[in-house]
Amino acid sequence: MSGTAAAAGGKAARRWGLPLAGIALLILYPLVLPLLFNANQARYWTLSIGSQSLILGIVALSLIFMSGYGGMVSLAQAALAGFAAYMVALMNLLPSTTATGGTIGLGLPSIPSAVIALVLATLAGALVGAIASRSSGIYFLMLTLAIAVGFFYVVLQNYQFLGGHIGFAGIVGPTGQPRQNPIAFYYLCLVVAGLAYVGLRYLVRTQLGLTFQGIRDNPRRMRALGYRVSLHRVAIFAIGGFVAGLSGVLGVWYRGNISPGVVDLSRTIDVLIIAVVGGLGYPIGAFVGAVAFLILDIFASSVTLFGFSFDERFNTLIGLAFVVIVIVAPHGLTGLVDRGWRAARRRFSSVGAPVAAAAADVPVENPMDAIAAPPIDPIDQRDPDSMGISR
Amino acid sequence: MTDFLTVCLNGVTLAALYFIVASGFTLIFGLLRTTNMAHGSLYVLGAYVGVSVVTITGSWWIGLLAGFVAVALIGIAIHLGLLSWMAGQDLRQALVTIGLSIIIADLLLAHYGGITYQIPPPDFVAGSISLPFVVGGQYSAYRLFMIVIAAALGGALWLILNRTRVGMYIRAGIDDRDMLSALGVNVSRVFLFVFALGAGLAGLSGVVGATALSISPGEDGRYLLSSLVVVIVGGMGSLGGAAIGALIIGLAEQIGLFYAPTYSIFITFVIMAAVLAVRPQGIMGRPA
Repeated sequence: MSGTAAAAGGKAARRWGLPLAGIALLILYPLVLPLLFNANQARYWTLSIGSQSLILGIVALSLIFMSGYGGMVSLAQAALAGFAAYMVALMNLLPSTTATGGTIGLGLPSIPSAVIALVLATLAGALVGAIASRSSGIYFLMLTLAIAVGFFYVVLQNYQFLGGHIGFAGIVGPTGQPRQNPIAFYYLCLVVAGLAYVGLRYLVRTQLGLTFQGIRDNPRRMRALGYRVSLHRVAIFAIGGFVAGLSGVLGVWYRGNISPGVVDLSRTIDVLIIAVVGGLGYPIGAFVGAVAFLILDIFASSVTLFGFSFDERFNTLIGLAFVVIVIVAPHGLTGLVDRGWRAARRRFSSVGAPVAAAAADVPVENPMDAIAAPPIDPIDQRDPDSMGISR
Repeated sequence: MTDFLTVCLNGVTLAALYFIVASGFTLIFGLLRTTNMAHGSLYVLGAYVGVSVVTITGSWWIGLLAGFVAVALIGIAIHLGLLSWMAGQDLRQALVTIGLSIIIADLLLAHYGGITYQIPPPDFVAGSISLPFVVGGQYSAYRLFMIVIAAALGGALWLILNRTRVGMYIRAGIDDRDMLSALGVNVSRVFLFVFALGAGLAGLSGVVGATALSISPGEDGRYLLSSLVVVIVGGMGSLGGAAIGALIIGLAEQIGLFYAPTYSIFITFVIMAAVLAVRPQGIMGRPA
């Protein structure tokens, strides 16, 4: 990280240039759209692409946080987001009696509903963590998947309090109907996503965040040092639950309703796809992946491959794209760009200047590498000396 | 009392199906350490193959065989084409199989549509048998026949694992792959055999399940879930564990459905959490 004083100014520009440009783009995005498109199209790009990719990005961010800094690839994140959405509905809707006799709805305003839902989502995350952190590695993936699918069946079966297969409708957020005020809703999503992103990036630099990474790299050593490993894993889960809850709250405000379809297996897998396509090792990859996912969703109808139209076969297309990414680019799209960028800089930079800081996003450990290496018990017996190597 | 016995019998017959589904999953995991997230999709694929073949040939047994063979061949293709290139990278393998499961489910939806199919059972178990202690005194012969299939399959797998040379290789491979390879055994061929067998069992269970219940898109998630829960409770990679796990989950599900219909899934998860709290590796699992 050393550089001469003369180079420092240029370095700072390079360090901050890209992020600042990105922030400016995100802020100006909904304001520029009306200049390019008619009102309907502008609203579509603001909401269906802009807001939705931020919402999906936040839940993918929670997964990337947990896998990158906690070493735990959790498939329960979509379910936790859905849990928060259900809680918002139960708090926000006016009291009523369901067909099977249960009384639901507290009629709270939208913001208190969201706060309560977030607290509950954090607790639910901790509970999932308390169950799931008993296992590790690939068992962990299976366990969280089982919890996620189980949650889907819970909401599907329960008509008494959770609305069964119909769910709830008529939930309105603080900015009103997104369709009537798309720009306000977009900025709400942007602020929440920005706070979640910056907050997590800050958190991982604190002592707690470093402890998380220590546990990710070598739980045994951390245990020997006196840290309570399972408690920290529960804490990671609670944080992951909170961030996923943010996405769930925004999501229910976006759609105005909540039903089991929002927490089904395909949604769970969508979140995983977004995180992996974006790049599991890069926090910003969550949003890159979400944008890529939605763009692919929109343009799938116009893709024809070997005479096979993907008009109604979006899942086949996304599945193929996912498999290809996992095979050829395990670090996702962000990893591809990051590595290409660094290789280009290495080739064209005049002296061997340190280029690691140039990237907009500092890569964290990619769990794809970590879990890939040891064939048995990937987490607990991970390379005992890896702590000595600074990343 | 007859209520309870009927519910228990339903639970045991469901457990038989769960065991057949989960046995392939746990076999693959035990040796290859591959988490085949496409297992539920392979189940559905086998079921649809069974539907088509039984419709054409009219023979349930040919349908069963076709379900096994077709899905085993797909399994060979998946293993040779994708998974064997990333041996030992279990997260990557899990992700690839998740991608495959999406593709398989979507292509099946494209071909078979959203209709629910059911395969007619073979003639000799088509009707019902009179049982004195169940509700109505009659019970589906086919559901009882599933217990026979599960027991026969369990026995056959036990014989393969414990009484044949391949089985010896498989057991040795579970303990120490490198040493087995060093002894001159073609480990990758053993792996391929096990993956094909495990996938084939998923296909076979699809035919068995589509006869007892029915098959429609979306069932893949249900059977992936049941396989996951069964092996998590029973212990990864253990056939006996799969049997015990299937019994516990099958019974819990049916008893829950009868006595607390909207909360039955909770019972399953409370059991899973309780088992994990006491034995994180599952009932029959070995400590990792």
